[in-house]
Amino acid sequence: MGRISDNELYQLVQEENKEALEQLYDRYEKLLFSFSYKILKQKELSEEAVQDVFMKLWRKKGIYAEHKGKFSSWLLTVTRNVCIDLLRKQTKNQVELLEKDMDIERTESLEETVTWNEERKVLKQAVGQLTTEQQEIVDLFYFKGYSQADIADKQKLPLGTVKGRIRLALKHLKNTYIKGGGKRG
Amino acid sequence: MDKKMCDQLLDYYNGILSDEEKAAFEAHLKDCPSCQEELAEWEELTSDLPYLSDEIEPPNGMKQRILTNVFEDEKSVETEETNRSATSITDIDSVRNETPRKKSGWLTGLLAAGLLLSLGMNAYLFAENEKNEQVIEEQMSKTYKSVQLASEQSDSAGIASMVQKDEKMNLVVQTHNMTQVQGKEVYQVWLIEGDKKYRAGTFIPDEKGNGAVVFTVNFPGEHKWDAVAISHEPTPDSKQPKGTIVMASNL
Repeated sequence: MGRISDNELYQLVQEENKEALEQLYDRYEKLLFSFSYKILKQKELSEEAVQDVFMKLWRKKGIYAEHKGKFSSWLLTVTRNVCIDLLRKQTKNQVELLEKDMDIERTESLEETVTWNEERKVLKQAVGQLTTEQQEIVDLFYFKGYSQADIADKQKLPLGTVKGRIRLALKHLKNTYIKGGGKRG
Repeated sequence: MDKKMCDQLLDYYNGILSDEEKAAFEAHLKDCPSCQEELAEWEELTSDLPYLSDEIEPPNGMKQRILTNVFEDEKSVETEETNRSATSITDIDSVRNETPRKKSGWLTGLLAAGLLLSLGMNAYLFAENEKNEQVIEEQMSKTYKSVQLASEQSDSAGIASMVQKDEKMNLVVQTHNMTQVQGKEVYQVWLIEGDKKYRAGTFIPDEKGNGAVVFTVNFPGEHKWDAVAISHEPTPDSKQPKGTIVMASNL
């Protein structure tokens, strides 16, 4: 492909190469911001989340290693953890979101930027195949970061069955996604 | 294997465990192949989910802000202060459009949020007040009021105090962890009385996000201030708030 891989860029970041971090930033800015927004539903907070992630990348030496899996998957996991922490801090302070940004622009992406239009389409179709309860349980677990106990409470399920329900929903989703021609994963 | 430990896996995955629980779980994880396997399974099962997110264009200037902050070295602390004389303006439109009882929508939500936040800060505020009073007694000044400012969107926080000295009332605002401004943008402090907003100092935070304003309050006539707010303005010339409010508190 001729383009420098994520892992190679990360190695350069380790050597404090600012351009390499910038390149990683350009590659993942939109994906990480969009993902953060999906969890946090608020632009300023999403920016904070993305900043946290890049702070970690830059300042914490050796935070990523190949045995931790694909760089992009690892980066998304870190982003989710940061977002869920922020989400939890917010709820703790009982602060309601004052205004959700309604004026969301969607624009074409540059070539060097990760895009995921196709995946999203297929994934959304796959989500549509889940029951409402399954969709809710995935949302509570993955995008809201609820504990098992809170999910049990909210969905009126015995605690012992929560894990099984989530797993079933996710497996179903994955299978439909793969059948639909989903690329990633 | 310790079944109880294994049951915590999902809560570990979601970062819910306390520090001790987390450490205990991680110790357990090292010796529990079934948990290791299961953790990998959860990672695998969820790996596509981020791609469900709608594509959203990041805000203008985000790249520059983030990279500047990330690459930031320790630099000297300087607070740039661009204090200006105040102009009192009545927001004619809002007076016309709103019943006098109703607080401007621009603020109510934020004040509510600020108040909620400040509940958790009462103890801290109390300590701050005590500190302030000690200092101020020496200067023969009197602190009339001191309120905590906090942002619901970021770590930005501050304190606003009304201090009387030599017959003059001063508004002292100190902030920290402010988001950097770009180009002509500034932070503008406002004193609010009913529907009217009065400019009460302009500032730009330093590289560390600290910013402060000392503003002499001498608007003609009697005033009973309801609130103080800080907004992020596109230029230093806003006669009325155009940007978003970042912090506010009732006085």
